[in-house]
Amino acid sequence: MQGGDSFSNLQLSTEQLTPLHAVQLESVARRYRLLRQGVNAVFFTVLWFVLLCCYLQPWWPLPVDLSDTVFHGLWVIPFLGLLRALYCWQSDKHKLFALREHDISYKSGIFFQKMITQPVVRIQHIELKQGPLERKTALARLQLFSAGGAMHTFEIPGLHLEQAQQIRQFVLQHKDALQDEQQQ
Amino acid sequence: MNNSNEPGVAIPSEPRTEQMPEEMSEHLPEKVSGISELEHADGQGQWQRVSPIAILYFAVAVLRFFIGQFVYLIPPFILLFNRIKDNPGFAAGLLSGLLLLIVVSAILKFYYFQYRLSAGTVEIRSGVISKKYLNLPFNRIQNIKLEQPIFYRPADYVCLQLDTAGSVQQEARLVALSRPFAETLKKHILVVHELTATVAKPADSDNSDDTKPAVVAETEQLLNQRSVRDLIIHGISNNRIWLFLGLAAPFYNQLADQILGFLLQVGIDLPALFDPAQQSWMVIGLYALSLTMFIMLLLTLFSVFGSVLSFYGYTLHKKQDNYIRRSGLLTRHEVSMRLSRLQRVAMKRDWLDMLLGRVNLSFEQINGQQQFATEQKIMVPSVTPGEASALLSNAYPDNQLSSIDFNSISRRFIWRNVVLFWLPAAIIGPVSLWLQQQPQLAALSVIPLAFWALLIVMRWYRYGYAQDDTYYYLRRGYFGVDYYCFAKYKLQQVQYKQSWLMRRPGLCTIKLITASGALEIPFVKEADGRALLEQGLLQMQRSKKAWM
Repeated sequence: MQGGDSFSNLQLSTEQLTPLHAVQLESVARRYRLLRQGVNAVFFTVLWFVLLCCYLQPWWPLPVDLSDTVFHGLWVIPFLGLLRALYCWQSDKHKLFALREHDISYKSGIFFQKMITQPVVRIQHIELKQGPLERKTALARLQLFSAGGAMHTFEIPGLHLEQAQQIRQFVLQHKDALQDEQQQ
Repeated sequence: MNNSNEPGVAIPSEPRTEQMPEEMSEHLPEKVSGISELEHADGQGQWQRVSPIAILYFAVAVLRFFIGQFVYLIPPFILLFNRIKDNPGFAAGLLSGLLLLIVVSAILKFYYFQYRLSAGTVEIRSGVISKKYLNLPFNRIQNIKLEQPIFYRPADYVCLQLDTAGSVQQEARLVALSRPFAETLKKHILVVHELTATVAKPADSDNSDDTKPAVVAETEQLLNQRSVRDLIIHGISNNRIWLFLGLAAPFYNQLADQILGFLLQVGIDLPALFDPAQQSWMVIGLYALSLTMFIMLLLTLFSVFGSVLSFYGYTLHKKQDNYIRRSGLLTRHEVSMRLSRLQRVAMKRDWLDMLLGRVNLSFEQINGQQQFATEQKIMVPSVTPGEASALLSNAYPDNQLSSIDFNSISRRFIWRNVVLFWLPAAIIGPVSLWLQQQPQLAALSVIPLAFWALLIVMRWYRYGYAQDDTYYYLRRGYFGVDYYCFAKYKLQQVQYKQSWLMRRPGLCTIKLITASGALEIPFVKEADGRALLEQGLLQMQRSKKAWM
């Protein structure tokens, strides 16, 4: 960290700063929403087929109670699947993020909205995570760790891979980033 | 902190002289000789062993391990006591075998425990069967603690514990060092810290108020001291007996049976006393009350004992920008913390503290592992409010906690809790009791419900927040009141939360996260909440100060 640097925030007056509630939020990748819908559909379909097989198979006669439950399950499960699909679609729509000069924000929630702001200066390390399906679809999750503890790990899901890499680069190249590490 | 200040070191402080051995003052005159002394003492980076008294330390550790592992075997042993009495030879064999095992393993552990000090790092080799090697650079050390178990006291040995911010496996213990050597080593590590800190942030050199105390500060300055009376008060007002009760949980049943049996012998039939068929409700209530009082008294006595045990001879010193806490009746603990490591100051008072006019002040540090959170704090037990604000001002000279006006949170906080939680319980509870033909209980249930409602209102009443240019202030509590104060540049993350119902009245909940935990301020006006977050972020990003 060079002492001679001038800090650009210093020159701005408060009105010129973009306040948190006025930042332009970007939504997460559309592919991510589709992926979640797909996973949801596959999960409930498999569950439904398992139940159907249980109900129709001739080898193990089911007790009457259980067979009733299974029968009702055959219409309850698609219903639950539909509800979850609707919920996921809406909640994914509300997953937004924004970058400012010195911090990253992530907003989520339909009824209980929550906006987490992680200052870049306090980021200790960064992880880019990709599950097998995310790898197939070139999506990534970005995790930013601060000293706030494991409970407060900052995560943005459903980013395009190149977008996630750009954000990571932005954090790493930020002139204040990881200064705590260097001071150690 | 400049090195040029170091020679002005030789003045030994008054209160500490009796504890400072003669050799210590030889190390004191100048830092450089201290280091060379160190290198001399450890034979220029040779592997070496600690003092043989460490065998005792390891023996105790092994014994503790055994007790910890086989604690559940103790009750059967007690039950089998008669059998054992018949077979003394076998028992003696077992016992001596166990003793031998402990002694041998302690000696082996001692033999294989070696350490080496070399340029800026401490290395430790240990382990008999599974070997462990630890290399810890001085500038990674978070915390230095000196611990003196009672059996180290005659020869004045200490156990030096070096903590890192990382995991428990990362912590290093030098188990038996002579006190002067440990003190010198500690001083040396702190000096290394100072050097890296000053190299790392040259921009901070303008804060002259920091350097000024440093001239005086090489001598330790006594900030606070607790007398036995204070500790008794602390024991009464802070019943930490729940810990003890939790540990004893596996034995409750047996214990209850034993106590009931004993009482029956004395002539008190407890189950009969509490049988609604034999006694009226009134009498049962009285019995319950007196029994509770008696148990409370007993627990309080335990708690007082515990408080004296852990805080006996409590002193808090300040040396340069290090806080040093010493306390303990049996094992003396010495914890030191650099001021820059301080994350926030908490001043907590529960209702008993309010009555007794005391405050528990704690300097909270990074809170990596939850279970070690208590060890990471420097707690000053049961100080008076005046002392507390003096201590706070010492750490944060420009804080305005005593004069600042707190903003209260919205009244909707009460309504939310009443409608969402209290009202359903208040309807379902009594009605279901009524339906079960228990009209008396239904009527009685009004008492806890009223108490709960009072708690909700008090919670709202106690919540308060304020900020100035540098600090956040938060007040909360129920009957007691806790104050938190922390510098804005210690922020790690902020959260802004708003539920659907809060949106219309324009309220929000904000959460301020620091390395020592999160603080939430619920039901704040939107504009205020945003201002709190924005200004905190702005201050933090502008100041460029490191958070530790």
